[in-house]
Amino acid sequence: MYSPRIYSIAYHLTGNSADAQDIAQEVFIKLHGALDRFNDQYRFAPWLYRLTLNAAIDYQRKQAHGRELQFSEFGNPGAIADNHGGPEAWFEKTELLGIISRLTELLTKKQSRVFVLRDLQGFSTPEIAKILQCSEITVRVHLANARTRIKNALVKFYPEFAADNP
Amino acid sequence: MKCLRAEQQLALFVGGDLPESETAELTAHLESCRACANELERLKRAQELLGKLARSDQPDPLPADFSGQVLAEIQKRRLDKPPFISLFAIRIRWKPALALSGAVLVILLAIGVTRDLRQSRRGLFANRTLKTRQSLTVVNPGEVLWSAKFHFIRNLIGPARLTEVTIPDEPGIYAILHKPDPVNRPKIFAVTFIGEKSELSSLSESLLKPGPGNRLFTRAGSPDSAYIVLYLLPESTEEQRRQIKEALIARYEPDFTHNGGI
Repeated sequence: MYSPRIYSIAYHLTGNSADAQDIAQEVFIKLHGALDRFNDQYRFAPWLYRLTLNAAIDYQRKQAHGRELQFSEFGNPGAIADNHGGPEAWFEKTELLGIISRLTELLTKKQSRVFVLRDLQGFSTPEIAKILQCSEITVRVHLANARTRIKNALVKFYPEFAADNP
Repeated sequence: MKCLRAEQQLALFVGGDLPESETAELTAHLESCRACANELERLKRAQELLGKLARSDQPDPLPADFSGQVLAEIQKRRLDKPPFISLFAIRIRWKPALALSGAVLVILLAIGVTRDLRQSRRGLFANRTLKTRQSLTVVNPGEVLWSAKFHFIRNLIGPARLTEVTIPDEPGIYAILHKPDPVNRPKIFAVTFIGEKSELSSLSESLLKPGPGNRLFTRAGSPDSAYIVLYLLPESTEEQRRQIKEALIARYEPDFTHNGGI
Protein backbone atom coordinates (compact mmCIF):
# COMPACT_ATOMS: atom_id res chain seq x y z
CA MET A 1 0.00 0.00 0.00
CA TYR A 2 2.75 2.43 0.97
CA SER A 3 5.47 0.92 -1.21
CA PRO A 4 4.92 3.09 -4.33
CA ARG A 5 4.97 6.34 -2.35
CA ILE A 6 8.04 5.35 -0.37
CA TYR A 7 9.80 4.26 -3.54
CA SER A 8 8.85 7.49 -5.31
CA ILE A 9 10.10 9.71 -2.47
CA ALA A 10 13.35 7.77 -2.38
CA TYR A 11 13.69 8.11 -6.13
CA HIS A 12 13.18 11.87 -6.08
CA LEU A 13 15.82 12.16 -3.41
CA THR A 14 18.35 10.00 -5.25
CA GLY A 15 17.36 10.12 -8.92
CA ASN A 16 18.22 6.48 -9.31
CA SER A 17 15.84 3.53 -9.38
CA ALA A 18 18.37 1.08 -7.98
CA ASP A 19 19.25 3.36 -5.07
CA ALA A 20 15.58 4.10 -4.47
CA GLN A 21 14.84 0.38 -4.35
CA ASP A 22 17.63 -0.16 -1.81
CA ILE A 23 16.23 2.66 0.29
CA ALA A 24 12.67 1.35 0.07
CA GLN A 25 13.88 -2.06 1.16
CA GLU A 26 15.78 -0.50 4.05
CA VAL A 27 12.66 1.41 5.08
CA PHE A 28 10.60 -1.76 5.33
CA ILE A 29 13.33 -3.53 7.24
CA LYS A 30 13.55 -0.61 9.66
CA LEU A 31 9.78 -0.51 9.83
CA HIS A 32 9.76 -4.16 10.77
CA GLY A 33 12.24 -3.53 13.55
CA ALA A 34 10.55 -0.37 14.77
CA LEU A 35 6.91 -1.37 14.88
CA ASP A 36 7.15 -2.23 18.54
CA ARG A 37 8.25 1.33 19.24
CA PHE A 38 5.50 2.91 17.18
CA ASN A 39 3.17 4.92 19.35
CA ASP A 40 -0.48 4.63 18.38
CA GLN A 41 -1.15 8.24 19.27
CA TYR A 42 0.81 9.30 16.20
CA ARG A 43 -0.49 8.80 12.69
CA PHE A 44 1.19 5.95 10.89
CA ALA A 45 1.71 7.54 7.47
CA PRO A 46 3.69 10.63 8.58
CA TRP A 47 5.81 8.40 10.78
CA LEU A 48 6.51 6.07 7.86
CA TYR A 49 7.41 8.93 5.49
CA ARG A 50 9.75 10.38 8.09
CA LEU A 51 11.39 6.96 8.30
CA THR A 52 11.78 7.08 4.51
CA LEU A 53 13.39 10.51 4.52
CA ASN A 54 15.82 9.50 7.23
CA ALA A 55 16.71 6.28 5.43
CA ALA A 56 17.33 8.22 2.22
CA ILE A 57 19.52 10.71 4.02
CA ASP A 58 21.53 7.93 5.66
CA TYR A 59 21.91 6.25 2.31
CA GLN A 60 23.01 9.45 0.56
CA ARG A 61 25.46 10.18 3.35
CA LYS A 62 27.08 6.79 2.86
CA GLN A 63 27.21 7.30 -0.88
CA ALA A 64 28.38 10.90 -0.91
CA HIS A 65 31.72 10.68 0.91
CA GLY A 66 32.01 14.42 0.89
CA ARG A 67 31.50 14.82 -2.84
CA GLU A 68 30.70 18.38 -3.81
CA LEU A 69 28.22 18.76 -6.59
CA GLN A 70 28.92 21.31 -9.24
CA PHE A 71 26.18 22.56 -11.48
CA SER A 72 28.41 21.80 -14.44
CA GLU A 73 27.69 18.13 -13.78
CA PHE A 74 24.41 18.72 -15.52
CA GLY A 75 26.16 18.89 -18.84
CA ASN A 76 28.58 20.90 -20.86
CA PRO A 77 28.26 24.59 -19.90
CA GLY A 78 29.75 25.60 -23.23
CA ALA A 79 26.90 23.95 -25.06
CA ILE A 80 24.39 25.85 -23.00
CA ALA A 81 25.42 29.20 -24.47
CA ASP A 82 24.63 27.88 -27.94
CA ASN A 83 21.37 26.39 -26.84
CA HIS A 84 18.75 28.83 -28.10
CA GLY A 85 16.00 26.55 -26.92
CA GLY A 86 16.66 27.45 -23.31
CA PRO A 87 16.66 25.11 -20.36
CA GLU A 88 13.55 23.19 -21.39
CA ALA A 89 15.09 22.24 -24.73
CA TRP A 90 18.31 21.37 -22.99
CA PHE A 91 16.51 19.19 -20.50
CA GLU A 92 14.70 17.45 -23.33
CA LYS A 93 18.01 16.71 -25.01
CA THR A 94 19.57 15.58 -21.81
CA GLU A 95 18.78 12.39 -20.03
CA LEU A 96 16.10 13.21 -17.52
CA LEU A 97 17.14 10.60 -15.07
CA GLY A 98 18.65 12.14 -12.00
CA ILE A 99 18.21 15.80 -12.89
CA ILE A 100 15.73 16.48 -10.14
CA SER A 101 17.85 14.72 -7.61
CA ARG A 102 20.81 16.81 -8.67
CA LEU A 103 18.74 19.92 -8.31
CA THR A 104 17.80 18.84 -4.82
CA GLU A 105 21.46 18.32 -4.05
CA LEU A 106 21.89 22.05 -4.45
CA LEU A 107 19.69 22.43 -1.40
CA THR A 108 20.35 21.90 2.25
CA LYS A 109 19.01 18.67 3.68
CA LYS A 110 16.01 20.38 5.25
CA GLN A 111 15.22 22.34 2.11
CA SER A 112 15.57 19.21 0.04
CA ARG A 113 13.14 17.22 2.20
CA VAL A 114 10.52 19.96 2.12
CA PHE A 115 10.98 20.56 -1.61
CA VAL A 116 10.61 16.88 -2.52
CA LEU A 117 7.57 16.40 -0.33
CA ARG A 118 5.80 19.57 -1.49
CA ASP A 119 6.75 20.17 -5.12
CA LEU A 120 7.45 16.65 -6.28
CA GLN A 121 5.22 14.52 -4.06
CA GLY A 122 2.37 16.98 -3.60
CA PHE A 123 1.99 16.82 0.18
CA SER A 124 0.35 19.87 1.74
CA THR A 125 2.21 22.16 4.12
CA PRO A 126 0.34 20.83 7.20
CA GLU A 127 1.08 17.25 6.13
CA ILE A 128 4.77 18.04 5.74
CA ALA A 129 4.83 19.68 9.15
CA LYS A 130 3.49 16.44 10.63
CA ILE A 131 5.97 14.30 8.74
CA LEU A 132 8.94 16.44 9.73
CA GLN A 133 7.59 17.18 13.20
CA CYS A 134 8.04 20.91 12.86
CA SER A 135 5.81 23.96 12.52
CA GLU A 136 4.11 24.98 9.29
CA ILE A 137 6.05 28.23 9.44
CA THR A 138 9.31 26.28 9.39
CA VAL A 139 8.07 24.28 6.41
CA ARG A 140 7.21 27.47 4.54
CA VAL A 141 10.61 29.03 5.27
CA HIS A 142 12.46 25.98 3.93
CA LEU A 143 10.12 25.76 0.95
CA ALA A 144 10.61 29.41 0.00
CA ASN A 145 14.37 29.08 0.32
CA ALA A 146 14.41 25.89 -1.74
CA ARG A 147 12.35 27.34 -4.58
CA THR A 148 14.42 30.52 -4.63
CA ARG A 149 17.65 28.55 -4.68
CA ILE A 150 16.56 26.36 -7.57
CA LYS A 151 15.27 29.33 -9.51
CA ASN A 152 18.59 31.15 -8.92
CA ALA A 153 20.52 28.12 -10.18
CA LEU A 154 18.45 28.05 -13.36
CA VAL A 155 18.82 31.79 -13.86
CA LYS A 156 22.56 31.61 -13.34
CA PHE A 157 23.14 29.00 -16.00
CA TYR A 158 20.39 29.89 -18.43
CA PRO A 159 20.33 33.63 -19.13
CA GLU A 160 17.24 33.28 -21.30
CA PHE A 161 15.44 31.78 -18.34
CA ALA A 162 15.98 35.08 -16.53
CA ALA A 163 14.64 37.24 -19.36
CA ASP A 164 12.18 39.78 -18.02
CA ASN A 165 8.85 40.44 -19.57
CA PRO A 166 8.79 43.77 -21.44
CA MET B 1 6.16 46.15 1.46
CA LYS B 2 9.90 45.80 0.84
CA CYS B 3 11.06 43.68 -2.08
CA LEU B 4 13.30 41.60 0.18
CA ARG B 5 10.28 40.40 2.15
CA ALA B 6 8.28 39.98 -1.03
CA GLU B 7 10.91 37.60 -2.41
CA GLN B 8 10.18 35.01 0.28
CA GLN B 9 6.46 35.44 -0.16
CA LEU B 10 6.68 35.12 -3.94
CA ALA B 11 8.35 31.74 -3.62
CA LEU B 12 5.39 30.57 -1.55
CA PHE B 13 2.76 32.36 -3.59
CA VAL B 14 3.88 30.64 -6.80
CA GLY B 15 2.92 27.27 -5.38
CA GLY B 16 -0.19 28.39 -3.54
CA ASP B 17 1.50 28.13 -0.17
CA LEU B 18 1.25 31.73 0.98
CA PRO B 19 -1.29 32.19 3.80
CA GLU B 20 -4.35 34.13 2.71
CA SER B 21 -3.65 36.81 5.27
CA GLU B 22 -0.47 37.77 3.38
CA THR B 23 -1.75 37.38 -0.17
CA ALA B 24 -3.56 40.71 -0.46
CA GLU B 25 -0.51 42.66 0.65
CA LEU B 26 1.71 40.84 -1.85
CA THR B 27 -0.76 41.28 -4.71
CA ALA B 28 -0.86 45.01 -4.07
CA HIS B 29 2.93 45.12 -4.05
CA LEU B 30 3.13 43.26 -7.36
CA GLU B 31 0.93 45.85 -9.05
CA SER B 32 3.40 48.56 -8.24
CA CYS B 33 6.74 46.69 -8.49
CA ARG B 34 7.94 45.53 -11.91
CA ALA B 35 11.04 43.77 -10.46
CA CYS B 36 8.94 41.57 -8.22
CA ALA B 37 6.47 40.84 -11.01
CA ASN B 38 9.39 39.64 -13.15
CA GLU B 39 10.69 37.60 -10.24
CA LEU B 40 7.30 35.94 -9.96
CA GLU B 41 7.46 35.03 -13.66
CA ARG B 42 10.85 33.40 -13.22
CA LEU B 43 9.59 31.42 -10.25
CA LYS B 44 6.57 30.32 -12.27
CA ARG B 45 8.79 29.13 -15.10
CA ALA B 46 10.94 27.19 -12.67
CA GLN B 47 7.85 25.58 -11.11
CA GLU B 48 6.44 24.63 -14.49
CA LEU B 49 9.76 23.15 -15.55
CA LEU B 50 10.07 21.14 -12.36
CA GLY B 51 6.48 19.96 -12.73
CA LYS B 52 7.24 18.63 -16.20
CA LEU B 53 10.40 16.95 -14.99
CA ALA B 54 8.63 15.38 -12.03
CA ARG B 55 5.93 13.95 -14.28
CA SER B 56 8.33 12.58 -16.87
CA ASP B 57 11.08 11.45 -14.54
CA GLN B 58 9.55 8.37 -12.95
CA PRO B 59 11.47 5.41 -11.52
CA ASP B 60 11.44 1.92 -12.98
CA PRO B 61 8.61 -0.22 -11.58
CA LEU B 62 9.36 -2.06 -8.37
CA PRO B 63 10.14 -5.73 -8.93
CA ALA B 64 7.11 -8.00 -8.65
CA ASP B 65 8.71 -9.93 -5.82
CA PHE B 66 9.79 -6.83 -3.87
CA SER B 67 7.94 -7.95 -0.73
CA GLY B 68 9.61 -11.34 -0.93
CA GLN B 69 13.02 -9.71 -1.28
CA VAL B 70 12.40 -7.60 1.82
CA LEU B 71 11.30 -10.62 3.86
CA ALA B 72 14.30 -12.59 2.65
CA GLU B 73 16.63 -9.76 3.67
CA ILE B 74 15.01 -9.57 7.11
CA GLN B 75 15.48 -13.28 7.58
CA LYS B 76 19.06 -13.09 6.34
CA ARG B 77 19.94 -10.34 8.79
CA ARG B 78 18.32 -12.26 11.63
CA LEU B 79 20.34 -15.35 10.80
CA ASP B 80 23.52 -13.30 10.44
CA LYS B 81 23.40 -12.26 14.06
CA PRO B 82 21.43 -14.81 16.09
CA PRO B 83 23.33 -14.36 19.34
CA PHE B 84 22.45 -10.70 19.72
CA ILE B 85 18.91 -10.17 20.85
CA SER B 86 17.62 -6.87 22.06
CA LEU B 87 15.30 -6.55 24.99
CA PHE B 88 13.28 -4.20 22.81
CA ALA B 89 11.72 -7.33 21.40
CA ILE B 90 9.78 -8.04 24.53
CA ARG B 91 7.61 -5.03 23.76
CA ILE B 92 6.89 -6.00 20.19
CA ARG B 93 3.26 -5.82 19.06
CA TRP B 94 1.61 -8.31 16.80
CA LYS B 95 1.15 -6.81 13.33
CA PRO B 96 0.11 -9.67 11.08
CA ALA B 97 1.97 -8.67 7.96
CA LEU B 98 5.28 -7.77 9.50
CA ALA B 99 5.65 -9.49 12.82
CA LEU B 100 7.21 -12.69 11.60
CA SER B 101 10.66 -12.13 12.90
CA GLY B 102 9.33 -10.22 15.87
CA ALA B 103 7.41 -13.28 16.90
CA VAL B 104 10.54 -15.32 16.48
CA LEU B 105 12.37 -12.94 18.74
CA VAL B 106 9.68 -12.99 21.37
CA ILE B 107 9.68 -16.71 21.66
CA LEU B 108 13.46 -16.83 21.49
CA LEU B 109 13.52 -14.46 24.40
CA ALA B 110 10.81 -16.35 26.16
CA ILE B 111 12.79 -19.49 25.93
CA GLY B 112 16.30 -18.34 26.09
CA VAL B 113 17.10 -15.03 27.72
CA THR B 114 18.10 -14.51 31.28
CA ARG B 115 19.09 -11.49 33.25
CA ASP B 116 20.85 -13.45 35.89
CA LEU B 117 24.41 -12.22 35.59
CA ARG B 118 25.58 -14.21 38.54
CA GLN B 119 24.61 -17.43 36.83
CA SER B 120 26.51 -16.58 33.71
CA ARG B 121 29.59 -15.54 35.65
CA ARG B 122 29.64 -18.91 37.30
CA GLY B 123 29.97 -20.39 33.84
CA LEU B 124 27.05 -22.75 34.17
CA PHE B 125 26.83 -22.89 30.40
CA ALA B 126 29.68 -22.57 28.05
CA ASN B 127 28.60 -22.59 24.45
CA ARG B 128 26.73 -19.43 23.54
CA THR B 129 26.58 -15.86 24.73
CA LEU B 130 23.55 -13.68 24.27
CA LYS B 131 24.16 -9.99 24.70
CA THR B 132 21.21 -7.78 25.50
CA ARG B 133 20.92 -4.15 26.40
CA GLN B 134 20.82 -4.91 30.05
CA SER B 135 22.63 -8.13 30.66
CA LEU B 136 24.61 -11.05 29.43
CA THR B 137 23.42 -14.57 29.44
CA VAL B 138 24.94 -17.86 28.46
CA VAL B 139 22.83 -20.57 26.93
CA ASN B 140 23.59 -24.03 25.70
CA PRO B 141 21.90 -25.14 22.49
CA GLY B 142 19.96 -27.71 24.44
CA GLU B 143 19.53 -25.88 27.73
CA VAL B 144 18.03 -22.54 28.58
CA LEU B 145 17.62 -20.52 31.71
CA TRP B 146 14.13 -19.22 32.18
CA SER B 147 13.43 -15.73 33.44
CA ALA B 148 10.02 -15.23 34.98
CA LYS B 149 10.08 -11.66 33.72
CA PHE B 150 8.84 -12.83 30.37
CA HIS B 151 5.67 -14.34 31.69
CA PHE B 152 3.95 -11.06 31.06
CA ILE B 153 4.40 -10.97 27.32
CA ARG B 154 1.07 -10.78 25.58
CA ASN B 155 0.04 -13.98 23.77
CA LEU B 156 2.68 -15.95 25.61
CA ILE B 157 1.62 -18.75 27.90
CA GLY B 158 4.00 -20.60 30.12
CA PRO B 159 6.16 -22.16 31.03
CA ALA B 160 3.47 -24.11 32.74
CA ARG B 161 3.31 -27.72 33.74
CA LEU B 162 2.11 -29.65 30.76
CA THR B 163 -0.42 -31.53 32.81
CA GLU B 164 -1.95 -28.36 34.21
CA VAL B 165 -2.28 -26.05 31.25
CA THR B 166 -5.40 -25.81 29.08
CA ILE B 167 -4.34 -25.35 25.47
CA PRO B 168 -6.33 -22.54 23.78
CA ASP B 169 -7.91 -23.36 20.44
CA GLU B 170 -5.82 -20.86 18.45
CA PRO B 171 -2.89 -21.26 16.06
CA GLY B 172 0.50 -20.79 17.56
CA ILE B 173 3.94 -22.18 18.20
CA TYR B 174 4.75 -24.15 21.29
CA ALA B 175 7.80 -25.59 22.96
CA ILE B 176 7.90 -28.52 25.33
CA LEU B 177 10.55 -28.16 27.99
CA HIS B 178 11.68 -30.26 30.88
CA LYS B 179 13.87 -29.70 33.88
CA PRO B 180 16.87 -31.98 33.64
CA ASP B 181 17.94 -31.25 37.20
CA PRO B 182 14.94 -29.78 39.04
CA VAL B 183 16.54 -30.09 42.46
CA ASN B 184 19.89 -28.44 41.95
CA ARG B 185 19.03 -26.24 38.95
CA PRO B 186 15.32 -25.54 39.24
CA LYS B 187 15.34 -22.71 36.71
CA ILE B 188 17.06 -24.66 33.98
CA PHE B 189 14.96 -26.03 31.14
CA ALA B 190 15.95 -28.29 28.30
CA VAL B 191 14.13 -27.94 25.00
CA THR B 192 12.48 -31.22 24.19
CA PHE B 193 10.14 -30.37 21.36
CA ILE B 194 9.14 -27.38 19.22
CA GLY B 195 6.13 -27.44 16.94
CA GLU B 196 2.92 -25.82 15.84
CA LYS B 197 -0.29 -25.74 17.74
CA SER B 198 -1.93 -27.94 15.08
CA GLU B 199 0.71 -30.59 15.69
CA LEU B 200 0.04 -30.32 19.36
CA SER B 201 -3.60 -31.25 18.77
CA SER B 202 -2.61 -34.40 16.96
CA LEU B 203 -0.16 -35.26 19.67
CA SER B 204 -2.22 -34.26 22.65
CA GLU B 205 -3.17 -37.78 23.53
CA SER B 206 0.40 -38.94 23.94
CA LEU B 207 1.56 -35.65 25.41
CA LEU B 208 -1.03 -35.42 28.10
CA LYS B 209 -1.07 -39.07 29.09
CA PRO B 210 2.28 -39.93 30.59
CA GLY B 211 3.28 -43.51 30.35
CA PRO B 212 6.08 -45.79 29.29
CA GLY B 213 5.40 -45.13 25.59
CA ASN B 214 5.64 -41.38 25.93
CA ARG B 215 9.23 -40.43 25.24
CA LEU B 216 8.62 -36.82 26.17
CA PHE B 217 7.81 -37.77 29.71
CA THR B 218 10.50 -40.36 29.75
CA ARG B 219 12.93 -37.62 28.91
CA ALA B 220 11.42 -35.32 31.53
CA GLY B 221 11.64 -37.93 34.21
CA SER B 222 8.20 -37.26 35.60
CA PRO B 223 5.05 -35.50 34.41
CA ASP B 224 5.66 -32.69 36.85
CA SER B 225 8.95 -31.92 35.15
CA ALA B 226 7.45 -31.43 31.69
CA TYR B 227 6.52 -27.87 30.80
CA ILE B 228 5.00 -26.07 27.86
CA VAL B 229 5.46 -22.60 26.41
CA LEU B 230 2.81 -21.54 23.93
CA TYR B 231 3.05 -18.44 21.78
CA LEU B 232 -0.35 -17.69 20.27
CA LEU B 233 -0.36 -16.27 16.75
CA PRO B 234 -4.05 -15.85 16.02
CA GLU B 235 -3.66 -13.90 12.77
CA SER B 236 -0.60 -15.64 11.40
CA THR B 237 -0.45 -17.57 8.15
CA GLU B 238 0.60 -21.17 7.90
CA GLU B 239 3.78 -20.09 6.11
CA GLN B 240 4.69 -17.62 8.85
CA ARG B 241 4.24 -20.27 11.52
CA ARG B 242 6.29 -22.73 9.52
CA GLN B 243 9.16 -20.25 9.25
CA ILE B 244 9.02 -19.41 12.93
CA LYS B 245 9.03 -23.07 13.85
CA GLU B 246 11.98 -23.84 11.59
CA ALA B 247 13.95 -20.91 12.97
CA LEU B 248 13.31 -22.04 16.51
CA ILE B 249 14.19 -25.65 15.78
CA ALA B 250 17.44 -24.53 14.13
CA ARG B 251 18.17 -22.27 17.09
CA TYR B 252 17.33 -24.59 19.97
CA GLU B 253 17.94 -28.03 18.53
CA PRO B 254 15.16 -29.81 20.41
CA ASP B 255 15.46 -33.50 21.11
CA PHE B 256 12.43 -34.30 18.96
CA THR B 257 10.51 -32.83 16.08
CA HIS B 258 7.12 -33.73 14.71
CA ASN B 259 8.54 -35.49 11.69
CA GLY B 260 11.07 -37.34 13.79
CA GLY B 261 8.28 -38.78 15.86
CA ILE B 262 7.73 -38.78 19.54
